[in-house]
Amino acid sequence: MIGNPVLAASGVTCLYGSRTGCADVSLEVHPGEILALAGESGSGKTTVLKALSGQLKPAAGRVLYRDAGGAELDVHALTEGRRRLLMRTELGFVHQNPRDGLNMAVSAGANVADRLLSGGERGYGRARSAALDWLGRVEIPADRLDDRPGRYSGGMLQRLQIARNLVTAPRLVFLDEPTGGLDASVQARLLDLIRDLVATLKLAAVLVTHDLAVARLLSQRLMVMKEGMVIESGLTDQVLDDPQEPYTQLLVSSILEA
Amino acid sequence: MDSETAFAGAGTSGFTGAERHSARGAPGPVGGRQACRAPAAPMPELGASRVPLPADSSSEPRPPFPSPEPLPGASFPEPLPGASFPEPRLGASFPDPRLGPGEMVRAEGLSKTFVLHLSGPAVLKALEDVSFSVRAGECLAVTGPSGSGKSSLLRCVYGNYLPTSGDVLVDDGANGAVSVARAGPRDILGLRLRTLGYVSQFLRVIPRVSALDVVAEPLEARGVPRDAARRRAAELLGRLNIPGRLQALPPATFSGGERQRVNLARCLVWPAPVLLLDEPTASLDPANERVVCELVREAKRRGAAVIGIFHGRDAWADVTDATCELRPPSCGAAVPPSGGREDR
Repeated sequence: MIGNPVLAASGVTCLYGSRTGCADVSLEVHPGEILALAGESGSGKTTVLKALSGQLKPAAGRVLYRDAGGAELDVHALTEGRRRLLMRTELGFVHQNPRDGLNMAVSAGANVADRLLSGGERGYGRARSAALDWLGRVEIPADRLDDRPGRYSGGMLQRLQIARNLVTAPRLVFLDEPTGGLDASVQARLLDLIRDLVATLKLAAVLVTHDLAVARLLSQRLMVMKEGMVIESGLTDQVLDDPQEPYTQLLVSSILEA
Repeated sequence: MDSETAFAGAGTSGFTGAERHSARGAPGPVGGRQACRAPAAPMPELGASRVPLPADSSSEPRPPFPSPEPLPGASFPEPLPGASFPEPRLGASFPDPRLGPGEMVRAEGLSKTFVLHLSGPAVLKALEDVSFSVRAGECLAVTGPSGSGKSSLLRCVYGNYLPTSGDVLVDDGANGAVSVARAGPRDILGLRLRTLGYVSQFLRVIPRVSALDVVAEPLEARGVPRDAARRRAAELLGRLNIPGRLQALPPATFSGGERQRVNLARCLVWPAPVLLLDEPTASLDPANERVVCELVREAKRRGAAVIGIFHGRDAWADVTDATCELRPPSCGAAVPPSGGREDR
C-alpha cells in the first residue's frame, strides 16, 4: 500500500527495576489505520503505549515519529519542551480515566480551548467557537459548555476528553482503554463516535484494549501481548478468527457471548 | 540507523526490524501473519508479497491478451463523485504471468488445518489440496456436504484464514497478482479495499449505526462523499425491499432475512472485481432471492468474478458457470478454533 508510517518502533524494551514491562516490541502505524494492542491486565500494553508516546523512556529500542512537516523525530531524543508541544498539537492521548486527561478545575469549554491556545492559537474567540463545535461533534449539548467537568457523567467526560484531544487535529492518537469502565450502552455510543471520527479525520491511532470485541470493531490490525511480549500479530479479523498461538486461542475462546 | 535515514526508502524499508518480534521455533503457516511465527526469516519488504513481474518478462512470449469486448447487456454503474474505484475490468489490466488471460482468482493446492491447542492439541483438517480458477464475468459455485470446508475456502481467499499450504492468487488490477497466503496484513487490506467483496453468512452489527450508514460505509471508505454514498445505499436497499423506515434503524433489531439483505447490500454497493458469497440467500424468501440473483448477474456483466456457496438452490443454477466440488478432508469435519461460531 502507499504511504509511510507515521510511527515506527523497533526493539522497544522497558524495564521497571528488574521487572520487564515490555520486551522487544516493534510496530508501525500508518495514516488512517488503527492498530490495537490486546492482552490481559499486566501484559504490557499500557507500558508500550507510554513508550510510544514518549512518557516512558525505553531501556532499549527506539520510537520514531514522522511529524506534519515530514521530518523524522526520535521521540525519546526530543527535548521535554518539544515533546510537550507535540503532545498538545500533533499527538493525542486519551486516558482510560478521563480525569487524568482533563483539567477538572476549569470549564468543559476551557478544557477544549486550552489545548488549542497552548498549541499556539492566539484568538480566544476562535478557540471558544472551535470548542463549541467540538462539543457538538462529541454530542455534548452547547448549554453544558461552561460547566465544570466534575458535573459530567462518565460517558460525557470521556467524550469531552476526546474532544480536547481532537480539537488540534492531531495526526496520531493513543487510546488507552477508552471505553473501559463505561456502561455497555455508553460504550457502544463512544465506539461509534471514535470509529466515525477516525474515519472522517484520517487519523492514525494506537488502541490499547483488553476487550477483543472493541479491537474487532475499531482496529484493522491487532497485536496480542502476553508477559510483555508480542506473541501474535496480523489482520484483526484473521487473528481473532484463525488464532495460531495457544494463548490467543485461549483469549478468543474466553469471550462471553451476549 | 539514525533518524535521518530511518524513514528513508520506499514504504517501510527504513524500519527493517519493524514488527519482527519473538521469533518462535514452531513452523508456521506460509507467510501471511507477520514474522512473529517465522523463525529467523528476513522480513519481506512491504510490497514484496506481490508477485513481481520477472525482469526478463519482455523477452518471454506472453500469451496474447485479448482486449475485452463489452458483453451484451453490460451496464457499468454510474460514476460516483469522488469515487476512486478501479476501472471496470474484464480480466487483468496488467496481465501477470502467473494468471492467465481474464483469470481473476486461482487457488493452487490450497489446504487448511486447524491446530486447537486448548484441546490436546487437536488437529483438524478443513481443506485438502483444493485448486480452482475463476475468470472475469464467471461464477464458480463451491459445493460439498456440510463440513467439507466451503466457508473455510472463501475465508482463505478473503485472507481471513491463513492457508496451511498452497496459495490463492488474486488479480489486483494495476498491482498485478497478489498472493493471499504470502501477503502481509496491509497488503490484504489493500486487496480488500480494491478488489474483494465478501458476504459472510451473518451480519456483524455495529451498535447504534443505521442500516443506511452500514451500507454506505464501504462506499465512504472508498472515497465517495457521504451524501452520494447514502443515496446509492438507499437505492440498493430499496431494491432489496428494505423500506426507508427500516433503513434509518440499526439492524440489531432486524429479522434474519432483513439482516442478510443489509449484509448483501454492504457487499454489493461498490463494484468489487471479485465477489465471495457465503450462502447469500440462505434466509431469504424466493422473491428476494431473485433480486439477489439479478444483482449478482449484473455484477458478472460488469466483469466481476464470483465465488459462491449456494447449496444447490435452484435460483442460482443459471447464475453458475462452473462448480468446485469439495469432499470432507480425510480426518473429519473441521471446527474453527473459535469454537465454530459463525455468527459474526
